Amino acid sequence: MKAPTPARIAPLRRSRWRRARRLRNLTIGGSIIAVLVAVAILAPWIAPFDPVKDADLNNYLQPPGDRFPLGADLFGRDVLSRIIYGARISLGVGIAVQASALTLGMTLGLLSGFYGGWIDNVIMRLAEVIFAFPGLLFAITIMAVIGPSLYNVFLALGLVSWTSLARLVRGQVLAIRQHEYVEAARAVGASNARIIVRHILPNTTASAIILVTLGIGGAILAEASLSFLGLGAQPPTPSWGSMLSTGRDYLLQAPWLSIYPGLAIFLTVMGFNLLGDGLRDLLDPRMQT
Amino acid sequence: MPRGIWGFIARRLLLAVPVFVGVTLVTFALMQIVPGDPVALLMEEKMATVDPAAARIIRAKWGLDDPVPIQYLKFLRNAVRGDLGISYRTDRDVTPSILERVPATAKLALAALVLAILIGVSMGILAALRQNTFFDSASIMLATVGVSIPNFWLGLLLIYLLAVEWRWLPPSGYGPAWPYLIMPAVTLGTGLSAVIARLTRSSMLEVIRQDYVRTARAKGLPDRRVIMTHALRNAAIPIVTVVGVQMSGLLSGAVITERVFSWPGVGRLLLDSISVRDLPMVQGCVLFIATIFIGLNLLVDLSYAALDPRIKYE
Amino acid sequence: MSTRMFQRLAAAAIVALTAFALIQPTTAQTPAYGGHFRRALSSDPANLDPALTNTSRAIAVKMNIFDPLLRQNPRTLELEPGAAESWSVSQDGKVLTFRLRRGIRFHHGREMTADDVKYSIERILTPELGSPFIRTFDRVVGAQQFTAKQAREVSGIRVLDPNRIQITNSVVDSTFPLSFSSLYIVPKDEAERLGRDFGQRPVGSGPFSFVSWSRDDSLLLRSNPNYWEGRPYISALEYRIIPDSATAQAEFDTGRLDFMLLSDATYRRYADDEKWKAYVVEVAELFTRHLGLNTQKPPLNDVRVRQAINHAIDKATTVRTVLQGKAFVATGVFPPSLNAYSRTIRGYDYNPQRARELLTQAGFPNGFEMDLNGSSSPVTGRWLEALQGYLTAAGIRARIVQADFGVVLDRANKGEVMSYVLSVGGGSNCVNWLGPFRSRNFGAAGNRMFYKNDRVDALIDQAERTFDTRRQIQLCQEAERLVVADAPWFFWNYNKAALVHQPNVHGIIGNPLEMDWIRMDKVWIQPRR
Repeated sequence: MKAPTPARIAPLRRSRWRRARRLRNLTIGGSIIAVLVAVAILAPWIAPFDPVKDADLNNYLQPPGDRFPLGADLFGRDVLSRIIYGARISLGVGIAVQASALTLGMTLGLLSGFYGGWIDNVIMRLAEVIFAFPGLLFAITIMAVIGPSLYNVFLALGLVSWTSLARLVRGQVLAIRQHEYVEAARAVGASNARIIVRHILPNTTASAIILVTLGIGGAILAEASLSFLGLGAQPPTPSWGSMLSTGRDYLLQAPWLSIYPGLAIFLTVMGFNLLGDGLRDLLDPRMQT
Repeated sequence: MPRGIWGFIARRLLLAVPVFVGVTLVTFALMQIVPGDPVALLMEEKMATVDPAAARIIRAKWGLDDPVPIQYLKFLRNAVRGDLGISYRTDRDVTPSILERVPATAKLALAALVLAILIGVSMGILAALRQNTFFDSASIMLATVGVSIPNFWLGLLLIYLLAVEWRWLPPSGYGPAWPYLIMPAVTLGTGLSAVIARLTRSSMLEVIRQDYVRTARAKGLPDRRVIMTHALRNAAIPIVTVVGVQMSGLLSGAVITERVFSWPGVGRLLLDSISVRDLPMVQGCVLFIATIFIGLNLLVDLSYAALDPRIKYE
Repeated sequence: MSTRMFQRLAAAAIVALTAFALIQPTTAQTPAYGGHFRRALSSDPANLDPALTNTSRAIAVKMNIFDPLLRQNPRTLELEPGAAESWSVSQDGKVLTFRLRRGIRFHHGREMTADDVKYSIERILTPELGSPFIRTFDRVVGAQQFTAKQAREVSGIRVLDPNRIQITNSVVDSTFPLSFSSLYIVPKDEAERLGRDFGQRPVGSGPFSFVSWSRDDSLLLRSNPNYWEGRPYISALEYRIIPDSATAQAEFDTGRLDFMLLSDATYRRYADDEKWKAYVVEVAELFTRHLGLNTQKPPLNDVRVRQAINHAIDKATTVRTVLQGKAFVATGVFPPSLNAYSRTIRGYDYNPQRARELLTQAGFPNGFEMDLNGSSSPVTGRWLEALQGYLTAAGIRARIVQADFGVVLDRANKGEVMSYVLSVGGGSNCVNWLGPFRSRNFGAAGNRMFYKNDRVDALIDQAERTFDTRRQIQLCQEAERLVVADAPWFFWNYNKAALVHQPNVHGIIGNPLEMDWIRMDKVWIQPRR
């Protein structure tokens, strides 16, 4: 009773492209993400120091200056370099989590839609429970079981993020199953796999892209929250979330430890959100998530 | 009220029972797998010796000597009678411990919700009315900012600015008056207000374009009334949906907000209980949260009936 | 005299008088009565029953509600009278006789008697209560029978008269009298009446009585005007529960907390600030932070490897930077504030060269891999990172593993980890300090390094049996020397406990046993003008 089935995509016309250019969300969001990806890829070349190894305790808590443009942390490591490398981790978190969510969601959604019956019931009830239950608490409990580490963060967050995608895919499957051309295809002997690839996937792609883009921002924020609670990436990994979390103990003594990672998280998540919004306006304005 | 609504409610409540059982089973199983001995966790970091004799006695007291399935069955049997057990950490009954914290979380959640709806809806309306102007872009940008900030960061920033620097508000605490409620409510409600703002805007834009609005205008009804009555009505359902959907996000956020602002709510209780493996308390909190959600979902579905006369209940 | 002259003289006189008044020294500070004192706790005390509480936060509260039988002087760490005004030990060292002070009244009015003392001890031995302190008293004659429900009372605890009680131990243990400084006396009638509720609505005889408790929010105590040591200065004591350290700092800075404990992150900010320096109270705490090395896991079973680890880390720099100067470098087991501290122990200097040499001798020229375990608190995280850096430089590839404290402890107890960061103490008695090195304490009882040295065992046994302090210290120091040579720990640092208080707060005395344990009845607030 929650998400209505997504509308189909109308073929793109030139007027739409003009509108796209006017859609500031898309351009701003896209540029931010482009910068982020570039920084992540080029990290070893643009970072002035090694984020982990260049740790000289004698430089502890250096304020921003000539040597360390954004200051140094408690172990004498350059904050700027750690933020640059942190881009890799944040992108990694977002992508890994959404990739797991996508895989899990598509699989379960397909199973649910194709086979129906009790499989559908079980999967959808499970999705409802997970969707309704506070995701963070779920993630915390899972982390408590499997232990805090960056990889476990991927797993835990992935396990709570698949529900919208599953529902999306299932909806598509149900909608398509009725269509005549599918019946015709089946009559001709086309396998399920073919139907999935040729009919279902193309129609879900746009909405899935939107959900995933918006979900990446959410995953990055969730990692920050988990780090705040002491679960999450272990030292010396330079994840922005753990930098923000450790920096807050020194908020008054060394504010640069928390301001810059916080800014990085904020800009990145904003970029993904703007991009997602822009994509939504472009591809499927009537979709409600 | 549409007919068949009592049957609907009854059916939903009946369906809730297996959900409850399932939830307790999953929680119980998870807490068994979780590494960490509750007895050891009672000891603090500096008092690190756990006497084996004492540990044995404490474990017997908590009923941890029974085989695991028996423990679960005993728990179920007691739960049905309303007895959720005794907390390992405080040696106190679980139920009153949870109930006494409910008002705090409720106040916070309600305040955040009200704030989010007020701010979100107003911003959304204004943005829709002034579509494609600077105000529109600015408010949507602001809304996006709202969902892009880690909420503990926002909370700490607010504390340092409003409490320490400018001394306008008390930094934290569960005070009786509204100054204590503002910052936590804002911190918690920011994300939701952003979502509501965008939703309101898009719903209203949809309506504004629709024919019947044009028709109503043609009839000569004043602009404002047209918008208020038709457009808001249309936006109401998606807003209610989103609020229902976002409630879990609100509780997640509450866990963090309650910690930052020293707010004694259920979220904090659950968090503390998980970290010391206080199984009875974790079970109790989880059951409580499940109850709230089932109730809320029901409420959301019921409010559809009130808002959209087209919806029937089979 | 002309009018003008008169006016001038008058003016001058007025100026002179005013100046004189202004430069008068302020009156000496005499303690003022009254005031609502607020302090913070990082989490809820959970339960205030003295038999159940053993977190430092809960003890910080309960020591103001209850009286212990004996006390430890925070400055000298000597045992002093508490609720008992005197005590004696028999010739054979097994029988302790206490004489209770007269006129101590519980908060509900009744006078304390030796029956209450007996009840308080038997309570701890009652299995239904599940007290973690059972071990403390279970070697009293008849205790085990009582716990096993074979006897209705503990035969070794005898009430001689309403004010005298005699306790017979089954073994000779010179640390036994010390246990009575953590025995808090509860009123028998109230404890029985309230049952399990007693921990939520405690009734004691201490300087403050319980008023109300809003869980996870605040705990309120009121001063006890009839306290036997004199009425406390402050009239109300409030413990506010503030879990986040940044929030606590905000509360202190805005004047809403009267003192705040300092961590390594916040210490420098107040200790270096001209405005706050004078209000920082520091004390060398009786805890040694160390990296425990599991001697059963190769290559840590080779003493040379363990010694290499000790040489590999620059303790002084880590203390200066990561710990922000809020600690003292450790040479051995005992901290300087302990009477058994030895100045002649050499310990291990920072010598990465020597570390590599030792590793090569032991057969690891290219180092090896090990895990570094610690709790998931941010502070511990910092320590682990610091250690990891130096170990890596010496060729030891150390992997950090953080988990909830109980999990770490559990794993360490079972011998599943190679190393763990911990902070342990032993109170004021060196025998307790050496507990972790006794082979009979493998695992949960404290010896998580699974270290065994027969000579060390023998020395500690001897020290435990002697009541002669000097001889005890001698034996302890000899044992410490052997332990340091065997290096089952990386001996890192002793904490410098510190707190900062508002300028108008007086009378706070730092307690080396645990900074949190402050006698609030001696604290007073100068009312703000």
